[in-house]
Amino acid sequence: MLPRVIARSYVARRLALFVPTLLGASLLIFVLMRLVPGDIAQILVYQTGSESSAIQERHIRQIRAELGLDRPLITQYLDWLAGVLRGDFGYSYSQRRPVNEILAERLPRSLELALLTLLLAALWSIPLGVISAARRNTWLDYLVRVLSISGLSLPIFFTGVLILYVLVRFFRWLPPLEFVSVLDDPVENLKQLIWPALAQAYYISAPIMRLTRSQMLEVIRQDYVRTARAKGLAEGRVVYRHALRNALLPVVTFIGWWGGRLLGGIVIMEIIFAVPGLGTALVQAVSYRDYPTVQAIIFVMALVFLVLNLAVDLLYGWLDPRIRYA
Amino acid sequence: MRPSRILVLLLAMLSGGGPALPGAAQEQPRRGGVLTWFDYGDPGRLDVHSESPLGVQQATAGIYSGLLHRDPDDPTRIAPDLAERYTTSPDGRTYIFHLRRNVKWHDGQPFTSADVKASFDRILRPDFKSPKCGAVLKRIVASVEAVDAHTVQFQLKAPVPYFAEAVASAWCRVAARHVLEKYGDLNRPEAQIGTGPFRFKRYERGSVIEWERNPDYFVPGLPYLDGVKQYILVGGATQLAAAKAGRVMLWDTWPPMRKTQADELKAARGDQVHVYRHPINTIFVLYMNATRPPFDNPDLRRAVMLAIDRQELVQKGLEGAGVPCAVLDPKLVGDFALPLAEVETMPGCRQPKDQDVAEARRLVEKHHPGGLDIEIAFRQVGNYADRAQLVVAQLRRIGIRGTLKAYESAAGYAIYGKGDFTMIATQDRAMDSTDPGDVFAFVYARDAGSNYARWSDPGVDELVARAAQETDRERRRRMYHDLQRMILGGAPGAVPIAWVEGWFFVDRRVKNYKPAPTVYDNNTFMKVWLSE
Amino acid sequence: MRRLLDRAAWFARRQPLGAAGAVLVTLLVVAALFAPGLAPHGPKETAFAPYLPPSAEFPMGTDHLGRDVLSRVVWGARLSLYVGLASVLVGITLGALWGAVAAYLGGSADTASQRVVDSLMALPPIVLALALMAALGQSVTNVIIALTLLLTPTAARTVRAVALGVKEHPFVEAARAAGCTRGRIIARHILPNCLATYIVLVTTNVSYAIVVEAALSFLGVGAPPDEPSWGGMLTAGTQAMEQAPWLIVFPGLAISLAVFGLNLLGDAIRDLADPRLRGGLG
Repeated sequence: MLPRVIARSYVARRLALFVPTLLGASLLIFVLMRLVPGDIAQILVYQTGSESSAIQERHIRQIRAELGLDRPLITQYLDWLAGVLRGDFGYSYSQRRPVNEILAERLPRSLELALLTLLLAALWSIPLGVISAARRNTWLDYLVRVLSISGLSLPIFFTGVLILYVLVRFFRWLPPLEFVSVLDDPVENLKQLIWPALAQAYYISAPIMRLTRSQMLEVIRQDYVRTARAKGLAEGRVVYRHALRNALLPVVTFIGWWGGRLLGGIVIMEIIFAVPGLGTALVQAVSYRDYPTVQAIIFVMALVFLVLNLAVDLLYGWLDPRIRYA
Repeated sequence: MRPSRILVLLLAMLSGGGPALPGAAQEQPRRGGVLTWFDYGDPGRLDVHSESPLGVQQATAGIYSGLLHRDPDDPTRIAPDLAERYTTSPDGRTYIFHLRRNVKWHDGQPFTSADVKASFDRILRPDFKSPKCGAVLKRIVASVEAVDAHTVQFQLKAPVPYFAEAVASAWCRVAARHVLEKYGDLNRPEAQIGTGPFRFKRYERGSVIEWERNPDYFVPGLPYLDGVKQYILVGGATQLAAAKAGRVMLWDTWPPMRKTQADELKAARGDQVHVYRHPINTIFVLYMNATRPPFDNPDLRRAVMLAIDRQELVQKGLEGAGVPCAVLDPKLVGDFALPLAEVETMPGCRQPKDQDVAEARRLVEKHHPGGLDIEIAFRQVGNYADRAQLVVAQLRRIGIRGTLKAYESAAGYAIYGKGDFTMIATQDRAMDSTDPGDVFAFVYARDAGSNYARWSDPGVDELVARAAQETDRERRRRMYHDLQRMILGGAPGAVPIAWVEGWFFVDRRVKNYKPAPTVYDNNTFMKVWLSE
Repeated sequence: MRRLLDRAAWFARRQPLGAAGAVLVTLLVVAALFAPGLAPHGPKETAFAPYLPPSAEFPMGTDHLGRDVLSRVVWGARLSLYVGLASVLVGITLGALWGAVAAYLGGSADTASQRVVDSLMALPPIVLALALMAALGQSVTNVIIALTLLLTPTAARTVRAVALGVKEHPFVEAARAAGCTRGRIIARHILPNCLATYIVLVTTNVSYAIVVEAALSFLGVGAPPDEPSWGGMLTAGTQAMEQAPWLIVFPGLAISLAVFGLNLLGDAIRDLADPRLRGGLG
């Protein structure tokens, strides 16, 4: 185990690196969103309004002034940043409420869905990866690999639509359309979330399976496994006891990395299965050019991504004493 | 009521708008049950005075009442709501509304004329954005005064034939003065305090909106339903799945079902649902930018006018659900519309197309020997992509080679508003009422909000303004006929392609549900009941 | 010829799945190359009756606008391969150069570049692509640009890690001692040693690009709708799943087989190139 001081300074250094990354990501999305044609004033005024064109133009100017969209971009960014430092992500004009409220409402749901997805993916693809490595180049190995790669092969939205179709067509049943918090009714909650989680897990299982397999293959070749085998331990024990633990480390890292990506990746599943999560809020905010909301959600997604990566690295170091924090 | 008004209503009844739906009136209404349907998007904002998306209207419809509204038993008619009756002065400039007594807001406060004045003063305030109710009323209303606690007087700038219909709009709802004072606007769920048949119960953003019965509703015995639940379903596949699984009991939102979806639903639910085709009071228009080449040239606009095959666009792009060519749809505005028999013989509308296409090709050749290349824009929503592809194919026949440019929905509006396009292949514009003046005020007048083409014609402008003020019905009808001929026979910036219809359904259990002639109206469900 | 067959047989025995993948990918490439000859009609030709079921005349039926589905599927191979290859070649090449140069330069240049890579990777890819497409407008070229931006940082990070290892090799030291310029060392020593990584990155990410293009179509910001994009066809097909299942079956099969084949082949190449290399975007 490492001396605590080193570990602490390592964490501090990693945390310090969050700052430029978050700044970079937020600046990127800030600039990108301003390049998208149209702003919220135009969208609110043009969408289905029946005023004359002169009145429309006046309202657009009015809304822009109200929201400070007529100020220089740099001022707008710095203002936003100052707000973030105070823990205030601003006000969503398209939803007429503080952005912090949106985050507090949506983040837990998307985290839950992402977690469920990872859990399902790991439960199914790690054992498959182990089997495939242990029985490499047999028909079983091929079958497992074909199965997992097939998950990658259908566009995720289509898997989702197919699930809905099959549930309704053959089982005359549809997952709940109304979101219920897991705290209020875990069963109802699961009845809705299990399907998007399954579809997404099927999609991401191939890389996890593939990595588990290659890690297992590599570890099996290593000396201590050979030693264990030479000592006469049964093949099963060698695989599961000695090899698995070491092989799983990179897999854990990878899953953590995926977890960070997933928060943004489950957008499509949220739309199809009517889950009011961070992703649907983000897509809606993008379509309304609701800058504060877009920036806040991206910021939070980036932050979760970074925190998960750090947590995974720390876990890695803790599990594998050979790693030194360089 | 003046005679002309009665005539309009009579004609509306004769033209028989609205489909024949099951749920005969002789059945005894049953109380109880929760009706479920859906909204195509999360409304987010809820202020019915300052917003315009259909979602906002759907979310709040049952909460509020208006002075007048569309009769829930026959939505083609205007009926009293908060106003028991109204009288008009002989010069047509003063309307006096006599309000119901003993009406209470959902929070128990009494409803008075002060609330009406506060609501309409807010809507009419010059700097207040009111894109639906205000857009119409600001043009015509001079002042609103409370005569006494139960009488309100509207003073008009000039007499107009459509004032009662404008006030009956579902966007001209009456909100409580004390609520407006307390919250400043009507966006918050807490601020949804009305006098309507339902109370606002819950808004789980992005997921569901729920109403519950208002036990103190001013019409005794109504509403029949215990509540209404509106799911927020963004994906088209999700909406259809919900319908097939019987989880939503009706489809009355935008976009309507496609024919294939309607067939799929019928196959899944059989007799349990009633699927019907219904106009949505929306015109499908193609725009050409009249301020930049090549369509600053009337010859080229005329060429497109002649070449576009409206019948094919309706057949393939709208799957048959539409009235091709018409500037006004007789189904919606009765004899204000040119008879379709006349419209269908006009150049550009008549079939077969050979003669018109040849003439169009000649016009293009005259200015652009060898044809020309243009960019054709459309917003990536509904079935616009299908329609746009057909437009490109049709224009290729006259030497206009179009490249499709798809815009994300909101980006498209921004580009159109700025006038930064050459051609918009397809854009639907929904009307706010069944007044024949709407389409001209929204699309064809010089300063119209949806005149993306920036086209203007002094003759058209003058006639549009005059027709809007004409109180003699026959003279008004003739003016609109002239306008339609001017547009169909000329080279306007906006080609009227078709009046759009769509497929909808109601569950057989839902009784007494009557779709209104505009998508915005009659969504209160005050007289709807469930048979089981 | 004989030797080529022998090698193919050796590959098929060693990597039977890879060989199956190679067959599928060959089919894809053939369809893409010879699309004008193979497709009976133009992919944008709306000349037929809509919703015709598969028949001798239209083996895959016609779509809702009366286009021949077979022709669109065949032309779709060209579009998919073009989008996949172009975005991956540009994106991975840029990323590889970026990673190699950053690794070699080290110091503050490397640190700064890493922060940029981190920032790009911290943005959720689908959302980044969505915003980019909304900003750029929808065209095939812009789909490629958006995908390129998704792929570049991943490649930069992966290649940088490999290049850091190469940099420590004695022959790089020797080259430096012999007075080689930085540019020369990067071009002559660092890059060639990252080639295996580069090839694996390219082969595994073509399929990723094809799938992301389909997702963009679903979100309404993919290639323009008249383009024969498999993702776009599939999205449109979901509106008539029961009446016209051929509208989802054939594009669905095409996209699955292509992505499946590319993945199998990619895995095989990965195994051959470097058994320890892992990841890819998945």
